[in-house]
Amino acid sequence: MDILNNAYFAFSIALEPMSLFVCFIGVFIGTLVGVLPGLGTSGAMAILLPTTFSLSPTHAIIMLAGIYYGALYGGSTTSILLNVPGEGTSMITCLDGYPMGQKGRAGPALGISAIGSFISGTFGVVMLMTLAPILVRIALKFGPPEYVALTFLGLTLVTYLARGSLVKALMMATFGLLLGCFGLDIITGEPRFTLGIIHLRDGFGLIPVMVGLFGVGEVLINFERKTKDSVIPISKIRELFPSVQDLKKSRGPIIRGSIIGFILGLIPGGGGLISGLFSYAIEKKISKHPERFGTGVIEGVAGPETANNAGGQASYIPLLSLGIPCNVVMAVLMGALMLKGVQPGPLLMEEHPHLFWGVVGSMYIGNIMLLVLNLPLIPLWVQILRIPYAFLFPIILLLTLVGSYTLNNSIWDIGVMIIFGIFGYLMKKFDYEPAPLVMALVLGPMFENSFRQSLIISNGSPMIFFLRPISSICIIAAILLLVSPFFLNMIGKKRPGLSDYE
Amino acid sequence: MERYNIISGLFWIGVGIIFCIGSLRLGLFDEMPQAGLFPFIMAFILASLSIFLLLMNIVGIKKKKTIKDKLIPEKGIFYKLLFSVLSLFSYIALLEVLGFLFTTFLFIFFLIKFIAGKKYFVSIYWAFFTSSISYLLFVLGLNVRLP
Repeated sequence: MDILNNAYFAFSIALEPMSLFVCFIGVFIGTLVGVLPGLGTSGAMAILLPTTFSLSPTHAIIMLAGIYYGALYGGSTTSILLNVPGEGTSMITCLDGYPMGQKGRAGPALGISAIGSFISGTFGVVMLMTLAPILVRIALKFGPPEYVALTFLGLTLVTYLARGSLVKALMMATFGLLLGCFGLDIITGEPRFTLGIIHLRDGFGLIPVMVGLFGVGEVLINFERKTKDSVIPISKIRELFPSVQDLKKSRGPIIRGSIIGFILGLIPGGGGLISGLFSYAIEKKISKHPERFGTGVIEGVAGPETANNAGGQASYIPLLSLGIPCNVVMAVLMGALMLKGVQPGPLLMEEHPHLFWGVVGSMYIGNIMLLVLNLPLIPLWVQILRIPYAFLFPIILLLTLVGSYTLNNSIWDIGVMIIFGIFGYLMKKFDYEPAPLVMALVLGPMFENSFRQSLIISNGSPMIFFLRPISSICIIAAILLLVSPFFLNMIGKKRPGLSDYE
Repeated sequence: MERYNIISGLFWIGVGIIFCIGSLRLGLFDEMPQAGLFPFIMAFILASLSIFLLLMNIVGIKKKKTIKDKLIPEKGIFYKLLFSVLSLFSYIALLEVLGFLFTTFLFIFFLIKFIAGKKYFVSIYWAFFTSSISYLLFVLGLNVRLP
């Protein structure tokens, strides 16, 4: 009964004209971002965040959330048509989606991708409505030590699953936590590392840092990657809809993908990409003809696309119910909520029910919009893909400049953004990942505050983290994760990651 | 790659040491955790990890190259990067002097003409188009306050 009441409340907010409008803008921009390689979802959300200042918190988050799942849809379009994933989460779709396109079956691939994403999106929203209130009740029993442990586990998982060197990912997470220490100390009020600069009293703004790292940094590194402008051959689209046979073959992968994607999306460090990878691996494993994977089988598109969307939906649950983002995109959303004066956490549902249920309801509406719009708009996306990068990168840079300036009408923020843009470029050159840094920067203040409160409660004894069951389990799990690569190395195996599919 | 890791490792050791010293000045613990405790722990961990990275690469444990690009890009790309960054700083310098519309026009024109290498007519057209649309969108559409 509770679920029905919650659903009614959610849709009553999501179906308001303004909510529908911002949801549409969000999914449209998200699909565009997903289609365009070179502009990531987190970067786009960070860049567009200042444009939501005139919106209410509910409408701002609806729009930003729409960008995320819109990008999940959009990324598959370029994977199938161009063999270029518009988003990292759509990387796996290239393996069978593009070969399908080359056989003249791009339409059914795009169609099944949209249908699978819609079904998993529906599943995700229902699960969110069911699980979130339960998690909130559990989370209300958490104290500072539990938050320290959960945040520690979350950061550990994000660094563990990062590409490349674990040591470097840990260094970036640590540096992110250090950056979060700039400014006035939250407990004593004394300035820390401000160097006498008055602007640093509030610390480094989250938006300029993220926009710099993901926006400017990406444009700068793309100068080295981009070849001269040329028309890339795009797979022809003959028919748009999958056949009855395609739907029958996709039934199993879609069901499995929804469940796998959802479970993996709940885990910090999870989300769309890991979900898609696992789904593909499982479909290939259980298939009667695994040798056909990679040649253009519909199961190789249906499963991963469903899973990555389910993972994306599930990743909202830790943020909305616990106040802990489990990936960088959720960290950006958390930053947006904090800028709007809303503290994500177990009390969000109670203190801001309009926002919580409005976002949940709009996710379902957004999935319907994407299903209806995406297929007819494919010719538009194809035309947009033909715009040379030479004309796109100035627009991206302009958006980063305007976005940073409008935060406080201050040149300082643009300066911070440019510095971190250069830093982001250098990070990529030296093979450091920005995601752990951003996650740590978002979580740092909460982590430190809970850490110090825990030590105050325990009169300075760190044993408090090991004497409470939830806290000790999380910390032990995090430590085991951190040391596991050494043991795996000793037995000749490597840390599971993305390099298997590169 | 090992060479680059050594360079970055030394850099991060320096960062860690600087923050450790700064944190000690803030105070670590005096009946309750002080402002410097958390940054000190993080700086210590950062410095330790950097030393580990440094040692790993000096000893040569990591044999597989992980960076495919050269650290310093070719001349043409280097200048593109340099002038793009300079154009961003120039935007800051000119924004509150010349205003949003004209500064944006100059910025887009510079990037398209001198960084992307397009013809004058195309560059002027695209700069005019982009600056106009962005003015309409941000100032008139979204009520964003810009100089």
